[in-house]
Amino acid sequence: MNNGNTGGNIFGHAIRRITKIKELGILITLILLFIILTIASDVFCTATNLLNIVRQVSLMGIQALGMTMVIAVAGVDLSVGAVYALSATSTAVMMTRLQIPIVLSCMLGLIVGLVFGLINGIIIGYIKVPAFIATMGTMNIARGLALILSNGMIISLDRDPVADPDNLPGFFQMGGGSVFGIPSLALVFIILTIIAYFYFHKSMQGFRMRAVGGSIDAARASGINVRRVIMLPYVIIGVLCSITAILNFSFMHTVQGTMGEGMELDVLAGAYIGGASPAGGSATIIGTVIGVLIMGVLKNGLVLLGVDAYMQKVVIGVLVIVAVVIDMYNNAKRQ
Amino acid sequence: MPENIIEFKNISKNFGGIQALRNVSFSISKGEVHTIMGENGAGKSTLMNILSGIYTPCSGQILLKSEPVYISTPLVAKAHGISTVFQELKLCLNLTVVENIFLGREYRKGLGMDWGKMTGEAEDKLKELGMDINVRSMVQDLSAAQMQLVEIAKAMFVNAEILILDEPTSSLTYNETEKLFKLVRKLKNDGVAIIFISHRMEEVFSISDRISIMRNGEYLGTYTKDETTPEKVVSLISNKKENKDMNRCVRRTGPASYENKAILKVKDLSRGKLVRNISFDLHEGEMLGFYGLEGSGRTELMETLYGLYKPESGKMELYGKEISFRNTRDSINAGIAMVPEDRKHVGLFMNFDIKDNILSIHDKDMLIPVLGVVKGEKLRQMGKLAIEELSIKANSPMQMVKTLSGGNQQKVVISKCLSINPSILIMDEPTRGVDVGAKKEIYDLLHSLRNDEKHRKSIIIVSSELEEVVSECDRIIVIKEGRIAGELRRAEINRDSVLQLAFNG
Repeated sequence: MNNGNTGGNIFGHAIRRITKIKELGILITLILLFIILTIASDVFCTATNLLNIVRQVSLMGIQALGMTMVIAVAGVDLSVGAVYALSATSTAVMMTRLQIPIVLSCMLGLIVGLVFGLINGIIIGYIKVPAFIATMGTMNIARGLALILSNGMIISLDRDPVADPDNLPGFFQMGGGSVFGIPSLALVFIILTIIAYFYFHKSMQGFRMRAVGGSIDAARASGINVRRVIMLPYVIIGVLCSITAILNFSFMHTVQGTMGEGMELDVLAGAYIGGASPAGGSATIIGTVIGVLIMGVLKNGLVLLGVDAYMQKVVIGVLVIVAVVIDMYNNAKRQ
Repeated sequence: MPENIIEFKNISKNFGGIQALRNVSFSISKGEVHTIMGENGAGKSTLMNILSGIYTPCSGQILLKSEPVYISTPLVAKAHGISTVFQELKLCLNLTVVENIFLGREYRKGLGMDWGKMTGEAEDKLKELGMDINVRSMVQDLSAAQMQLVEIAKAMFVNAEILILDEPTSSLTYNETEKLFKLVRKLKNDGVAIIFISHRMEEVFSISDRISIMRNGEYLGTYTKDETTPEKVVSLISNKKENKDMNRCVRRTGPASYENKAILKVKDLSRGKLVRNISFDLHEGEMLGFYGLEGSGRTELMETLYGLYKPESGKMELYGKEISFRNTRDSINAGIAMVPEDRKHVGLFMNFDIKDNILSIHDKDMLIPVLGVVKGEKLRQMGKLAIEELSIKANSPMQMVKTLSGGNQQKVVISKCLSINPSILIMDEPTRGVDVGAKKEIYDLLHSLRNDEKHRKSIIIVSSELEEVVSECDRIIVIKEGRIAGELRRAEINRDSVLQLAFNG
């Protein structure tokens, strides 16, 4: 390990610091992927395509930020896609059917995510139901409610009237607009990533999450309120789900009860590829972001190369397993 | 003349430099209850592990029925008729009694299994042994005593000639123990040799035919029940004759710390079976030692004091004010810190470095206000300071604790506790797995802490190492089966007086 200021060659020092970055492996993977795809397809490295990737990745990425924290406390949240659908559907129903003003509808939509996050957090953190089972339950509940609310139909802002149509353009800007050429979706992702980074890696709450994931008994003996610390990530990811839901609604102008089906698995894959260990404790925000980018770039690349949609699933699956195996190997090596 | 069924000849065993057994030679007869006694670490378990094939001796020989045998694995031991009933029962809770008894040896019938035959045989065997247990019941529905009987039945099924019972009565009531002993006597009469490991004097003297004593890996002698008394046994274990004059210990000079004012008063603290009506005072600047044999409840008492578990009844008073801890954060805020027994899982975060381990016990004091961000530089300085003050052999506060040696890891736990400047420090097994050099450094530190003019800390030491407690503390409270067996001060303290209370108190 470096012994403080050893002076000497700045270049050598920089190299040594970079190689110690935990996320180096996946970063290299991402860069390699990028290079390979640029060579393989002329369309890949174009502005339109890259913007496309960014948009697709942003929604998943925002949720993955929350999932990083959930995995860090040795948990998992399978209800992500369903809560996403329910938040979007509730907001849409409020705006169109119930004629509630747009801003109020969005705020109430956010509360949907918060409530489900709280439910998950309390069941898992306080009642101690295993995360897999608890979130599988809330997943079904949320999905069912979304389907009931939407009544099997697509709700479209281009077709169904709202109470305050003057505010619609503003609403569409949220998800569909751009600032200085950067899509607003990506902007939100970047801002939330920065906040998540500081929260998870620099704040006491984030530290306590990593502590609980490392050893629940040691955390308890250190005066940490373990139950509350386990609950928090679920609340956070719940809110993030509704944020992404509303953003997506703003971008697509439509919602349907079946949206987000299977999204949780992509979000989990992004986090696991990014190095989050299911045993808890070793997740990083940067790693997750890279993992999500790898997934996005890969999916996009496979489509451009004309690969079958089903084959994409196979590739993602293989990637997740490979990523976890590499992670296990690295951990064993460090012992 | 009862024939020897087991003969140990010069058995020695060392584990990487630690001599666990040294030239142990004695024999055990058929049809007797032979108890092996000794304090923690005397070598009893190691010897039994060798007999049951879990370890092999480094030198020496075992003779079974006068034939030398090489017991290389537990299966070989079983084949020789040696069965062990461990303290932690090895039954599958989610299976029935029959399924457990025949685990691995099921009778086949065609493509399936012959449960009818197995059930019948199990019922017969249990009846033969005088056990009133339904063989079809799930093991998890049985009481601890019944589980033990099932384990013995399982052993008898494979015609064990030698039955090792390791601390069988720790979770049994008086009546259940009597039932167990009735079975033991029957088996004895049938010719089985029963090796009994226990430190419960009353039981040992009730059931044993002969008692063998071990100390420090060495065999001291075998006595029939009538040849000896509980006090004599303890004297042998403690090596009373060679007791050094403990008053020469430097720490026993000057005013006695137990004469200072009492800062912590505990009254009638109870929780479950292992903490029963404990009352004691802790004085300012005192180094108070708690000693007890395995299973006496020392750790459980400390966990209750520290707030890891809530007591069922009792009161605690700190600096004159009554207190009750709902959780460890309360006790930390009140100025009590604990170095736990299990360093790797409860003391440290193996996934963190040194500075983060220290951070874990802190709260708002380490945060930048409003933002709630951890003061990185302050934490690093704290880490550096800890490394210097405790002479931790590490390169920087950013070194991962899992790369440190046991002694240095323990120092990290201690520095974590000290970083909140506690007035009371509880240390459960403070030097277990710590090398001699680090041990001395830790004790020097502890004494300087309690003698510090500006802020005298009071320290509670819990240890199963008799030497440690006897040489470092000027007051020792001995715990036996969840209760206080007695208290010893200064001149009263020596190996023998402590052990007498621990065994016979």
